[in-house]
Amino acid sequence: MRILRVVGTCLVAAIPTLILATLIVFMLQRLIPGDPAVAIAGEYATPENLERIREELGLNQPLIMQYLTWIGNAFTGDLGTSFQTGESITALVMQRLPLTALLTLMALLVAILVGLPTGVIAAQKVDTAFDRFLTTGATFGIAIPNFWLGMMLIIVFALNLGWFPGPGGVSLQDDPAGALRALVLPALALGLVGGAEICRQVRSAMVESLSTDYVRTHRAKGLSNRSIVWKHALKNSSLPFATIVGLQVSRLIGGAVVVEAVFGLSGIGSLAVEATNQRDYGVIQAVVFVAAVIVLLTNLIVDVSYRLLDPRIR
Amino acid sequence: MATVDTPTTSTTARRKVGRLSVTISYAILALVAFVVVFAGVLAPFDPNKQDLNAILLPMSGEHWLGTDDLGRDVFSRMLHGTRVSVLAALLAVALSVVIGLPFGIAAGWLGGVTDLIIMRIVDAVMSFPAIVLAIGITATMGPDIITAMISVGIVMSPAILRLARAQTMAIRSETYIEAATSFGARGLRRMVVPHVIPNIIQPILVQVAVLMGFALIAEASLSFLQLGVQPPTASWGAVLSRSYTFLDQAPMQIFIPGIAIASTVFAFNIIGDEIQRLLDPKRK
Amino acid sequence: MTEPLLSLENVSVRFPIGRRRHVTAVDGVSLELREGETLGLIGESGSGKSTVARAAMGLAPIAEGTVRWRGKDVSTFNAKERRAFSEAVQMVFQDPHSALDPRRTILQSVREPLDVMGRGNKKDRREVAAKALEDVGLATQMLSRYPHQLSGGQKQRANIARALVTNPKVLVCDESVAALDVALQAEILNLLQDLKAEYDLTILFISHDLSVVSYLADRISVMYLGNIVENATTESLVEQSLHPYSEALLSAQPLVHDSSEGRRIVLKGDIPSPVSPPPGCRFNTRCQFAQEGCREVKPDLVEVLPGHASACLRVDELYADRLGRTVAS
Repeated sequence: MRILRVVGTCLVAAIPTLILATLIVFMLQRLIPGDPAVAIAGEYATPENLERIREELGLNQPLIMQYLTWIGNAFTGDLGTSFQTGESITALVMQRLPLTALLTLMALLVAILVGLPTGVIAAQKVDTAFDRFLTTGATFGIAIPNFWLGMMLIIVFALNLGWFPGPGGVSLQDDPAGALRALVLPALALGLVGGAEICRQVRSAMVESLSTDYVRTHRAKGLSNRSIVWKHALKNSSLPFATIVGLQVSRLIGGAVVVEAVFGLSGIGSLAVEATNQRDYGVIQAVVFVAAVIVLLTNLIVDVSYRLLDPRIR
Repeated sequence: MATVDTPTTSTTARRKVGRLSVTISYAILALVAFVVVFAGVLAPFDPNKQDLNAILLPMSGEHWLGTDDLGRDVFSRMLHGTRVSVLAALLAVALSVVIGLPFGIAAGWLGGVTDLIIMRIVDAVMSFPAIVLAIGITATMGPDIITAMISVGIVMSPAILRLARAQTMAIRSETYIEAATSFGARGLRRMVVPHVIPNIIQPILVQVAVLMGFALIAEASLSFLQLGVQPPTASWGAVLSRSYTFLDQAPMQIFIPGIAIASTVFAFNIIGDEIQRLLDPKRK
Repeated sequence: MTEPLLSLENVSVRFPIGRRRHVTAVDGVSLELREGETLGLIGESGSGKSTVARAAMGLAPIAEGTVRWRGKDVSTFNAKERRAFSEAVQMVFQDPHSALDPRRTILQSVREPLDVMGRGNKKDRREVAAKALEDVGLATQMLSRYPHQLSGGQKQRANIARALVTNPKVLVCDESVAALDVALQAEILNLLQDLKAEYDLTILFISHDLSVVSYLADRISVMYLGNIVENATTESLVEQSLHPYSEALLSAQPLVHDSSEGRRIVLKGDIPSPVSPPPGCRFNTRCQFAQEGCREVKPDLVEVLPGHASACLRVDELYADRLGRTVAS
């Protein structure tokens, strides 16, 4: 089975990065100013209380032991307990993650639907006024802060037109249809900016692909322009496209954190913001960790598809 | 066959559109720079002075952009906010260059194990969504604009590092480097400073322009989440964050900082593209 | 005989290609550069002649063999000796354009060896650099120009000036005129002749162009695929070459070779890849006289006439007339 071997190779290649990434997450804890136990329990904590926290966090152990314990727990699905609510952090994250995941996926869909066709068309008409118009538009698009675009969408489509709900709590679990509706505007806010990025990247990939001898040969053979652009050149750009989409996932997760705050959505982004206000360091750490795991998984998928798509990489 | 034979008319049109956006971008950046320097002189009011008798005023001759929910003059806050936002972005970009340039050159020049180790760390940093890691660092160290921008500088540094590495590897085999080696030039003072840095710096400047845009958006995002600028200091993100709380009463006040951010970031990106175009040997 | 100034003894240079594989660019080459002479090193591209120059300069990793400066192994040099060595041996590179840092002025580039070696004060260094530029025929107003503002010939003059500022004993010229057109080549070659006299130079001149080498050189070494195949005085090599490869090179030179003697030898195909060189004599795949034995035994470089060495198994039978004639006279 080639695919299994490829997945295996990519997994092995990803391991050092994963270990270093977990090390970064672990070191976040070291950034807590002063004594972490005091920071968690508050200045007026009793010595017994502080001792209990140190015990629970394993702060009395050597650093390497702390790391090994933490990483061992993390990969068996135990991200610790929240010091504010006493809840399992894994449960908290898993409760919030689906909404963020759905938002990211919807935004990715928007981004691809907007960015791919415009990028291809711009590449086809490269160096014309139309191309310049699209490229300048895309440059303006990537300059717009996505959370501000979200506010603009709220003003127009929620407050004035009333087509979509304004900011406010929705629960994916209790009201899936309502949640989906509430996700349209934030997905647009994220996806349009992402689409502008994809447009620029697809354009340069396609310009390169259209200038290859391979495409020129097809042209000489008399293939229709449409078939050349949408079938052959696009297929030839599939590797950069995989990279572009992979990169976009990371960008969208980052953007989702901020956009969730704008729309009052209870995903992992707002979980991180709430945790910040409550100094719930374990939760912050967990959110950063989960985000990195998602990005690494995406990179893994991109890597695998690279190897499967490109006959030159074995 | 539109892709093969481009009519000259539309090429001219393209150049015109191109020139126009470049000119506008230079104008925007000049204006921003002017405001950064003269914010204190230009602002008609103290940006932090509250006047609870004059809250949420609309635009007027006295308050050009109205007042916020504490009666502070939004125009003055925007001017002072420009200074804070731009200086914050500069800090982040400067830090990313300070980290990225030396390590990128070291990785590209030395290669081997040094390169392997540095690039593994870069991969690890890049496996975090940039803004999430910045939030993680800032949230842990305590919300503060300096902390926030240091985090942003750290998460942006791989962009500079990777570019500096690639450029260094490209020039390492140039004859002028070999010539310098032949008469014993080595080390920081005799090789890196006189030969490597001047020959790799141009593409890095393009990247710096792009990162300025990224850093401005990051400042706005972090300040919006109250992880960046702390009240009562004004920044573009802080003004935006504040106005969002009275979104329905004064929607214009959301519009202004957003436009300021978008047009400045746009200008940085266009200038970045322009430098890139000028550097491209294929286009004359 | 006096001790050679710079000598290579059985020097091999290998470069890694991929994992655990190497290409042997220079394979057991020995050369002697005697004080005051001009030694020409000639070969096709890929023959390893530039790598020999780099090995002599310490710019290429030496896998085997020894480079000696005035009889002393350079790998044993201490910091002071090393500096004296790099002052004494300077190189003029092939492409005059890429050998000058595009971001430095001509003065900065020419002065740089002195800066690196920390000689004198800034004013002295400037004067030395200006003097060198004058010696190579560049006007003073060129000092503040950048390479792209100079012509190819001017740039090569600047490169030569840079090699002269340390007052070297040896100048290694690696294809130093190959990138120039013919008229400029002649100009630069004459300049090198003049400078040789003025600066008391010993020159190692590397080129693929026999007419250029024979114009300058007192002695010539012919390289093929990492080996030296023939070694002789210029006159002896041109008049009575004792190796089929050198003969092929000579026959390609209408100006040098006496065409009345007849045949023009056209070499078939390209030089083989040094990654997998042919067994036996490296030249056997393209040699018109190759026999069974040539594919099995690698010939050594043997002195067949006084001061004339050849690495050919069949040298005695192929060139019997030349050998006999010379011995007789």
